[in-house]
Amino acid sequence: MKKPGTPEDITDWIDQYLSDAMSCDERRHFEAAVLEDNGLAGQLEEQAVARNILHEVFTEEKLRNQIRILQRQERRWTIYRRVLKYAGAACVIAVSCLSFLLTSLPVFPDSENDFTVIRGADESVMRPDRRAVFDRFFAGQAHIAEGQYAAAVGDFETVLENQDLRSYFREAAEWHLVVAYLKSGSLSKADQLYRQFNECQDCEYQVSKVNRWKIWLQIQYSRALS
Amino acid sequence: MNSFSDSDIIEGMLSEDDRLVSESLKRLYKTCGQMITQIVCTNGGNLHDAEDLVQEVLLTFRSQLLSGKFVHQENVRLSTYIYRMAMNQWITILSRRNADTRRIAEFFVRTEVTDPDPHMVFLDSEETNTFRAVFSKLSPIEQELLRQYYDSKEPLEKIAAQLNMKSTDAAKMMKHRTMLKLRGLIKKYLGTI
Repeated sequence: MKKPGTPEDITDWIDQYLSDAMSCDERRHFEAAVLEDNGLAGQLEEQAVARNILHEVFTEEKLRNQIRILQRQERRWTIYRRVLKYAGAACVIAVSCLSFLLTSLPVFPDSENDFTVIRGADESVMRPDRRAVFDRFFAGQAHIAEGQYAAAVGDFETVLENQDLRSYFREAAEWHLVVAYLKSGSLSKADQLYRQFNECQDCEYQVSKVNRWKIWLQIQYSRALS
Repeated sequence: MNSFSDSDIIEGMLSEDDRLVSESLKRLYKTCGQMITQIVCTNGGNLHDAEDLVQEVLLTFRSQLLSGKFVHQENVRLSTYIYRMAMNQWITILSRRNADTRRIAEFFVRTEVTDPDPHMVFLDSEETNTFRAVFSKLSPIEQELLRQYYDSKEPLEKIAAQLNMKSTDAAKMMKHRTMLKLRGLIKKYLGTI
């Protein structure tokens, strides 16, 4: 193969030699031409240096890109781990709150010692029939505390059979009856009574929103399970 | 994967096989990336600085390996050597930024730096940077042509089509002119030809 005539073909010729893309004969001819032509030898040397530099630049570019990809992956992984950590913590808190709301009994006003229920009534001169109603109410509370919900239902239903109850006392008994129904498994009755209260605007017996919500949640949860 | 030793990483980095080089670099990154990030982030830098430094240090280490300036000693862990490189380079960057001298002094005391001239460690990096600087003097289309021809080994016909050139001859002519230009730039900036 003769030395090409145009400069661009000579550059290509040298590239073929440096890329090892020549046959043995072509290589021999090329090397003979280099020995004869100092200009070609110089160009060969320059092109070899330029190609080495290009190789170094391209390799560095590729390795740098690879490191960038690794860094990007690490950043993503860090975010993922952080999200997972916070989501896990949120789940634990949510489950704890939910289990507390689903298992604990609602707290009613003065439920430990419901003096307000009998306020204004002089126990020393109280009529025996009225005393029996109050006693039944407290017996119902005690049954709820002891987990005897069926007995509690009986107690509060008996209390509510009485017609001349003050509205505060009636509402207190009805709220307790909702819980007694709920815990004894009479879910539809509990739900019905709860709805009646939920719409009440001028109730005297104030049950906090958290406790109302707790009762509602427990009713819905028990209904979903049943 | 965990069985990669320092010697394996070095051997891989020196390999002609791109896959091995890439795997070794990944190993090296896993070993040292976090450590370098910590050096930067606990000494006045941010995550972005840390990422830049990780790139520089790992690529400089490779240059040192290729040029034979790094000699592996069995009793010195690779991560220790890279830790020192990262520290020295970070000090250099902080100095260049005209950072608070008190902070630099504190950093020196805390890390007990003993290298006489931290800049020497980065000679290889500067050489690579010079190559990159020379290459960046070419226009984007010239850079792309050389990248496709010499790195991706694409034929001139395909390059001509991709770069919207009239013909293969036009691509060949442009390659020739670009190589002439590059040789001129190398003579001018590196003086090695």
